Amino acid sequence: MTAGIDPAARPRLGRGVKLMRDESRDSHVLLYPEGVLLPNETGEAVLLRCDGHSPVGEIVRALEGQFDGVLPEQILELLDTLRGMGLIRIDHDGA
Amino acid sequence: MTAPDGAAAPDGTGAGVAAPWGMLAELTHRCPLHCPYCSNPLELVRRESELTTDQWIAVLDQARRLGVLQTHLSGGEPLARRDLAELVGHASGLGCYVSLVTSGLGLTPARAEELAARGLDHVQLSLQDSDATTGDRVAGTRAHHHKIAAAAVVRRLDLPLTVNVVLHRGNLDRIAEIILLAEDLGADRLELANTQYYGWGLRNRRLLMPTRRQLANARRVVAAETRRLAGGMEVVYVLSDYYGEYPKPCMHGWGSRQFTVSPAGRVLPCPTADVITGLPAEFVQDRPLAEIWYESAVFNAFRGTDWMRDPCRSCDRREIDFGGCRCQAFQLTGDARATDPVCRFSPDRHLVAAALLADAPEDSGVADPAAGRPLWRGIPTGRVPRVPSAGGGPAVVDPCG
Repeated sequence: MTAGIDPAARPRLGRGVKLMRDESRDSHVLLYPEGVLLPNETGEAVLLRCDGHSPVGEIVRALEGQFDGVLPEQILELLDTLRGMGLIRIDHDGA
Repeated sequence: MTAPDGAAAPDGTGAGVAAPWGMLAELTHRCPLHCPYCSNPLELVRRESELTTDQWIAVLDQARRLGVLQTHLSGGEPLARRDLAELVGHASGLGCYVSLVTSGLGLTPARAEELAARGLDHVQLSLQDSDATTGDRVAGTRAHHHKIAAAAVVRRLDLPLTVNVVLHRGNLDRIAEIILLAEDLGADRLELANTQYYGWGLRNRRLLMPTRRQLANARRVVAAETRRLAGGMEVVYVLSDYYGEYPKPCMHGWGSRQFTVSPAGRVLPCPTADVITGLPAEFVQDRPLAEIWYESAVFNAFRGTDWMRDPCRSCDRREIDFGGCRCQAFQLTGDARATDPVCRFSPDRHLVAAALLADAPEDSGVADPAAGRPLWRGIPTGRVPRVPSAGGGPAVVDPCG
């Protein structure tokens, strides 16, 4: 269910969630109270744009340009999954 | 802990073993609480045997180099360490996510502000009960109101807050009230964990084990409350594995994702692994952490699946639950290589069935565990801790004292 995501909304990381570069694994990692996630390349590109400033529509366009074969639905689905896990918030004002 | 799939499969020799993600740093066993289900070992490390600040700093450095990203600063009560802020700052500076696992006693506004300023990311606060009197009796000290105050301090600092409640016969009937209290405290997450029977909990099993009626009621309440709270406070409910068909995937496999360092510097695959007698003791003072993780006999003892015997060896679930818990297998059967006896395929399942029969009381006459003289952590057998009455003078608790 991704119908609820407004293209104008600006996703940002959830409370207590940190995205950082882990040199030992040569990847970004998402850290949160009870765990660690190692995103794949697409996931990493999406998470880096969950900065509270970039609107969903812009994130989708940027990813389409950056990766071949990535569909807008897949990006919306990923955002929805991350939201469901409490790892990002999708606010309308981005404040 | 959640870790990505596709981590290299350990093969029991150190080659192909993935780097660890998390470290549970038990900074001290000193604690103002004496909960009869404490997860600390029966033999507590004394203050004079604790690692120094410099030794802990070196452990954090090595852990980060090894790949650790999650550090849980725990105890005992970690606030009993005067160098806690320094250790939080160091771990945070290394890029680790830093969680404080605390009873809340000693978490004054000034102390909490200092920890937050040093980069503390998350607080996990224990709560014994929604009811102050019974909670204090279980804790063996007047603790409840300090915990309520500590939660408020954490919320004011806007740190993520997890409330953790160990469930047992004496508090399960108040599970609805406990959930409401955690919500009032502003918890982001509530962990409701039924007592697991190791160490102190195993010694007190007769007094802690809930009735079937209590568990059935708890399941209903948790299901309804989880629906009501959807999108708000997350509720995680963990049943004792005695009631399951299959064992829990203990630590996601031995030496697979995380390790524990005891207050004295002993490195173990899980916090209770020292119950398995005969495991070689490895200390951070004697050997580099990386060597202990990859090469030591203790970390390779039950890594992967090669150590397994039947029924585990040929079981379809061997990569799902990894044979269950080695500590439980050892404690109940005397053999750490045995299939976890909670498993329906274990030839020792009768031991668990017998415990459920012997220790789970009839549904009438539910007793308060404190009323039955439990073995309180760190208090000699038979002695009852003195809990100051609510009408007494101001309780000043100084875990450093």
